[in-house]
Amino acid sequence: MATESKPKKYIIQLKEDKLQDIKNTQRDLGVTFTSSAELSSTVRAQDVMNAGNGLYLKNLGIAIVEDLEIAKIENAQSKLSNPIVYWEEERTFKPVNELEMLTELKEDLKAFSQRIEELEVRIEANKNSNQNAFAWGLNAVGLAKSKYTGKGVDLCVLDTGFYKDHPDFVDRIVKGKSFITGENWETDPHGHGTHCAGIAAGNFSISEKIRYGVAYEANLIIGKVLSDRGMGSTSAILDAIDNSLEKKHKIISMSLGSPVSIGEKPSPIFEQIGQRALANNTLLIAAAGNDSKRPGLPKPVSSPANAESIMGIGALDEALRVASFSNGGLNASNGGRVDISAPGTGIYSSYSANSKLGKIYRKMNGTSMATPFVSGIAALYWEAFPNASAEEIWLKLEKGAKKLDNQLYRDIGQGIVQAI
Amino acid sequence: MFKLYEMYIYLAILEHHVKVDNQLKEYFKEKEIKILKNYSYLGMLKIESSKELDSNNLRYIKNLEQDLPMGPATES
Repeated sequence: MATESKPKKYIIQLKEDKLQDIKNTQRDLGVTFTSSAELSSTVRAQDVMNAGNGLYLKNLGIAIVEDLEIAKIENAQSKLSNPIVYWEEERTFKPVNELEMLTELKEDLKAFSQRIEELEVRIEANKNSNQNAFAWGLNAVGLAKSKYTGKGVDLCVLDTGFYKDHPDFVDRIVKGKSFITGENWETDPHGHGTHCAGIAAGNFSISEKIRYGVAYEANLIIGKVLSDRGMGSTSAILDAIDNSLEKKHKIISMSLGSPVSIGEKPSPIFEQIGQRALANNTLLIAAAGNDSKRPGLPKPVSSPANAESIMGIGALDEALRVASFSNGGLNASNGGRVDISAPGTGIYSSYSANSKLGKIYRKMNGTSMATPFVSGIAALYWEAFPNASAEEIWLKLEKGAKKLDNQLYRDIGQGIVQAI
Repeated sequence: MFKLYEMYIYLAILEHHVKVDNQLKEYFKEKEIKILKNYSYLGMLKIESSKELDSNNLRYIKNLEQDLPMGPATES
């Protein structure tokens, strides 16, 4: 008589009993889990399990799935974001004599030992890639030595929006709001906002194995204030900042600006905004602008970075010289200073698949790129000093900056920002 | 001046301690000024007028500024 073979079951051990871990595992395996808490004397494990539905043993941190391709489990485990630490095929237990039991135990031990070795290799590979493959900008700001990640700090990026489906951010909760009528914040057909947000609060390029983001555990918040074509106005920025102050965001990163003339005073609007923000314990950080063509006389720092109460950021090249396009503190007496500088040429970061280029990574140049380095590092400082005021964080950033030889204060302010 | 549909759009800083109350609304109505947005955390207003405004001739307003265009600070 032909016997129908039962589908195989697999036992999967998860790293932690966290909801996000369970969700990631469901996503990667393409199954949904029923919690063991929902089982009873009438609803038993075998009643809820099938090819599309597994069982999650809540008290053990173990999931059981059946009728699944092994390759699917292996693929899921190879993802950095996946919490599967160990899996094996369900074993059958039967009465055996002591000799058979010993043989089986030896085989199991051998297989288990092989699994441990594989896991060790994987952990070591991840550790090495995290330590060595830093984008140049992260090395320049000393991120490798930092133990901080910006954990729990609200960091708001005001820009063209954000490509929310970016694979490096699938595990992240990214909140946002559009201040541009008729356009949403989570697609970013322009791409600029996704690049800046990636530098400030991204982490690691899963496909290219390079770390490019600073504060990867900060709470990333997106404010779309520039349209899909990259155009915006002061009023959209005011809308977004007013909203951020209401929500008590700690850092507002603005890789945007409007050129000003030599001798032009800063906008009283932005000066008041900066002061209100500092009083609300929010630090505003803005790009100095890219209107210069050095070695000629640079153009003055743009608005809103030229406001006294808003931190103005200059850009450096890979040789740690001021970038040729980076604006300078020509109107310093009325606030138009470069306060601090950061890497701003050949900066690798996330990009939007919805952009014209259709790429999800790209290198870009600009004080736009330097600004989120400082914003991300501000988040590290705030994690380290959670009770510090915005003004104190500003001073700490400046004090911690590294001076650079043969560079003018006019061009780079206090020097290159350094991670804590 | 930034004009939209033949209207003038300004960002206005209110004088210290001025609130957007009925008195201010009544005054703006007289001057044919429309409040488009009240940025309460910033102490500012976005306003619209069919004619050019001067903060020196207006009560309650400390400073007026045009709604400037902004763009990304990336090297072109």
